[in-house]
Amino acid sequence: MSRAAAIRPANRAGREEAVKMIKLAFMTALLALATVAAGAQGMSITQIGTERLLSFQETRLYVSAPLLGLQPGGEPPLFEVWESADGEEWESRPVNAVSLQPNADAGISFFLLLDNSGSMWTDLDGNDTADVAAMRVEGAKAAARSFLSALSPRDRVGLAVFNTRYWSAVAPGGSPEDAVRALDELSRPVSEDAYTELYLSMARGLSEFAAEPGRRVLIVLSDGENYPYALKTGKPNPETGTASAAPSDIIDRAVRDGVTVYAVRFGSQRDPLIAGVAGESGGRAFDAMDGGQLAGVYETIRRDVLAELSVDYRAGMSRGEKRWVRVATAAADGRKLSATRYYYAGTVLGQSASDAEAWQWLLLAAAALLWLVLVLFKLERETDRAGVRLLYGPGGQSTRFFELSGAQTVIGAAPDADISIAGNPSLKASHATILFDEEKHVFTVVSDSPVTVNNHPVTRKRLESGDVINMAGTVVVFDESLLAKATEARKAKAARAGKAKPAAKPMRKRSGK
Amino acid sequence: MSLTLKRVFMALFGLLGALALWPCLLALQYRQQAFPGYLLFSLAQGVTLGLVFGAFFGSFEGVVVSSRPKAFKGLLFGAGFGALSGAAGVMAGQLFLFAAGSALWHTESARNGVGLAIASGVAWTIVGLFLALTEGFRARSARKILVGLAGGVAGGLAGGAALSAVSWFFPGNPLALLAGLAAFGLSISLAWSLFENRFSSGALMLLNGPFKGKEYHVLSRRMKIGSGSGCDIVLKGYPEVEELHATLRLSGGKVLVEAEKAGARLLVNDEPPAGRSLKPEDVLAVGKAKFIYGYFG
Repeated sequence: MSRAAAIRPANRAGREEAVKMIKLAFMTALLALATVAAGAQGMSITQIGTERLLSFQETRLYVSAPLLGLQPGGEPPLFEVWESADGEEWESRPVNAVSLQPNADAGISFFLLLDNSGSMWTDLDGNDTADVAAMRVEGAKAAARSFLSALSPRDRVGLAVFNTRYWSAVAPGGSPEDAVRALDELSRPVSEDAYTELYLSMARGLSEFAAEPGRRVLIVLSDGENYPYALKTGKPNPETGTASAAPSDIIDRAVRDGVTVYAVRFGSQRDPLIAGVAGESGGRAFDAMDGGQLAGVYETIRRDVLAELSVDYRAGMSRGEKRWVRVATAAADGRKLSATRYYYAGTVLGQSASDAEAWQWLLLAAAALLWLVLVLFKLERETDRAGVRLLYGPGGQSTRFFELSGAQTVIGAAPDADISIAGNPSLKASHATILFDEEKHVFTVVSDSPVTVNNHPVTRKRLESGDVINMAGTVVVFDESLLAKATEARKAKAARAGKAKPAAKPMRKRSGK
Repeated sequence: MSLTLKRVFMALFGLLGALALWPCLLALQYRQQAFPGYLLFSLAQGVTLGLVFGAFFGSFEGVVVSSRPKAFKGLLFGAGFGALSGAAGVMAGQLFLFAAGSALWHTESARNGVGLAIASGVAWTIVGLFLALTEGFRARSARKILVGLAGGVAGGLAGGAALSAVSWFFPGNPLALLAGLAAFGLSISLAWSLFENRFSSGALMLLNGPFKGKEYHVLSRRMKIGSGSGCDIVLKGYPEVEELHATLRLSGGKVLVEAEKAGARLLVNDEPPAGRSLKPEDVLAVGKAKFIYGYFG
C-alpha cells in the first residue's frame, strides 16, 4: 500500500514508468533472495586465478559471500583453505592474503555476448511486430546501455554479437563507449543468418576473452535454445563449417581459463542446459521477461562481482592436473560458510599416477650392472698369433688376419701366394716375403723392390709388433703378441745364457790363469 | 674401439641412463605432493635427471679407453656436474617462464599447458647442453667443450623437445616417459659423437697389443700418454711404457709429440720425433705400443 501511495500519476507515461520501477525493485529483491537460495552455503567461488601459480605457488580465489555482509574498509574475515587431488582427502593450505573488494581496485573485465537471432526482432511474446520499440532487441540494447553506463572507469568491456554468424564488435579490454556505439550497429539478420549458434559462439567468445587479465566475467544473453545452423539445415555454417560445441566443452574451457559465465535467459524460450554451464563456471543463470528486468539482472551481476573478495593462498602440489579447492569461513552470527570448486594446474614433466614398481627398479639395477660389465670387460683383445692384417682393406677385409706360419711367407697378388691379396694392380705376384727365424723368434721382411716399413723404404727389415708395411699401396700391419714376444725373448735369453754358461766357465778359468 | 663402435657405445650409454632414470623419476613424481612447490619439485627432477645421465656420460671416456679408475672417477665427476647442470637447467626454465611466460601465453590454460611444456623443454635443452659439456669439463679440453656445445645444442634441443612433447601428449603415461628419456639420452649421445669426429685434429689408432684397434681423437691441447690411469691414452699392459711417457700437443692445428721421460722409447716412423708435427700415416711408437696417426671413420 505504501508503494501505491507513493505513485502520483500525472499522466499515462509517468504511470508506466512508475510501474516499471516497481517491477524492477521487485525483481531485484527476488533475485537477491534467489542468490541466497542458490548458494545453500551462502558462499561461492566465482573464479580461480592461477596467474601466479607457477611463479609464486599462489592461487587466487574470488569469493562471493553476500551473507557475510562485508562493508568496504572493514576487517576481512578469517578464511581457511584446503586442497585435494580427488575431492576426498583434503590438505590444509596457508592463506596468504584476503582482500575486500579487489575488483573495485583492479577493475573487472566484462564480455557481453548478445543474441541477435531472428527471434530477437519479435516482440516479447515472440510475435512479429512493426513497432521497433516493442522488439526484444531494443530491450536488450537499452539494458546493455544502462549496464555500460554504470561501469567504473577501471572496468573493461568486450562485446560480441551472434546468430548464425559471430561478430566480434568490441575486442575484450575495450571501453564502454565503444560497446555503446557497437550496439547501435545491430541490424536484423536475414533468415539464413537468424539461427541461434549459442554454444559455438560461447566457445568463440571464450577464446577471445580468456587472454584478459584479472577478473573475467562473461555475460551471455539469449532469447532461445541453442539452435545450430549446421545441425538444423544440414549445411555447413558459413563461418564455422561443421564444427560444434557442447555445454561440457564450454564448461571445460571456462574452468581452464578462469572465466565466470553468467547466463541471462531472455523471454519464455530458454535453453535447458545453459544454467548448468553458468553454475559450473562459478556464475549463475537469470531469467528476464522484459527490458526492465534485464537491466536489473545486469545490475545484480555487476554488484555481485564488485562485492566479491579475494583469497590468495599457497597452492599445494597434489598430483594430476585437476585440483579441488575448498574455502570456509564463519559469518558474524557464527554460521559456517564454505564453498568448493576445482581448477586445473600445470604439470612438470607429466605426472606419475603410480609409484615405481619393483621391476622398474630392477631395470635400474640392470643398467648399473651392464655399466659395470662394460667397465670391467674390454672388447679389444691382443693377438696370440703372429700375422698381418690389411690396414685399409676394402669393405670388411680390414679385420681379416693372415697368420704367418713356417719359415717364409710370400705376400703378393698371385693366387698361389701364401698371402694372396687381390684388387691392387700395382701389387706384384710375389711382392714381399716375411722370413721367420724360429730360434731367435724374429720376423724379417724381404723384398726385391723396396717396400716401406713405417714410411721408410727398405728391402730388408726386422719387424716388430705394430709395424706398418706398405707394398705399392697395399698397407698391412704386422702384429704379434707383445706378451708372447716378451716371454719368447726371456726364453731365448735364458737359452742363450744356458748355452753360454758352460763356455763361460772355461773362459773364466782361462782368464784366471 | 673403432669410431662406429664408439658411437654405438655412446648411444648405449644414453639408453642405459634413460633406463636407470625411469624408476627414479616415476618415484619422484609419485611423491609430488611431498614438495612445497613447483620450483623444488622441478629442481628435484632436474637434479636427478642430470645426476644419472651425467654419471653415465662422465664414465664413458673411461670405458672407451678401458681404464677403470678413469671410469669410476668420471662417474663421480659426471654425477656431480650433471646434478648441477640439472639444477641450472631447471632454474633457467623457470626464469624463462618468469620473463616470457605471460608475454607469450595470455590465457591461464595456455600458461599451465603449452607454456609450461615449452618452459620445461627449455629446461631440458639446457640440461642436455650441460650434459654434453661434461666430458669437456672433465678433460678440461677446449675442443671437447666445443664438441659439447655443438652436440649439446643439437642433442639438447631434440631431446628436450622430445621429452617435453611426450609428457605433453601422454601425461602420466610411464612408458611415454621412458620413451622421452630414451630420446633425450640418445639425441645427446649421438649428437656428441657426431660432432666429436668433426672437431678432432685427427686420431691415433693403436695397432698392436691389448687395446689394438682403439682410436683416440686428438681433441685436447694436451694429451698425456702413459701407463698411468691419469693419462688420456692409458697404455696398460704394454712393455716399456712409462707411467707418464709422452705428451701430444695440439697447437695451430698441428699435433706434436714430446717425450716426458728421458730415455723412454718414443719414435715417429722409427726416428726420434725431433719437434716434427704428425702427418697422416705416421707411425708412432710409444714403448712397444704402436699407433698410426690419421683421420678415421
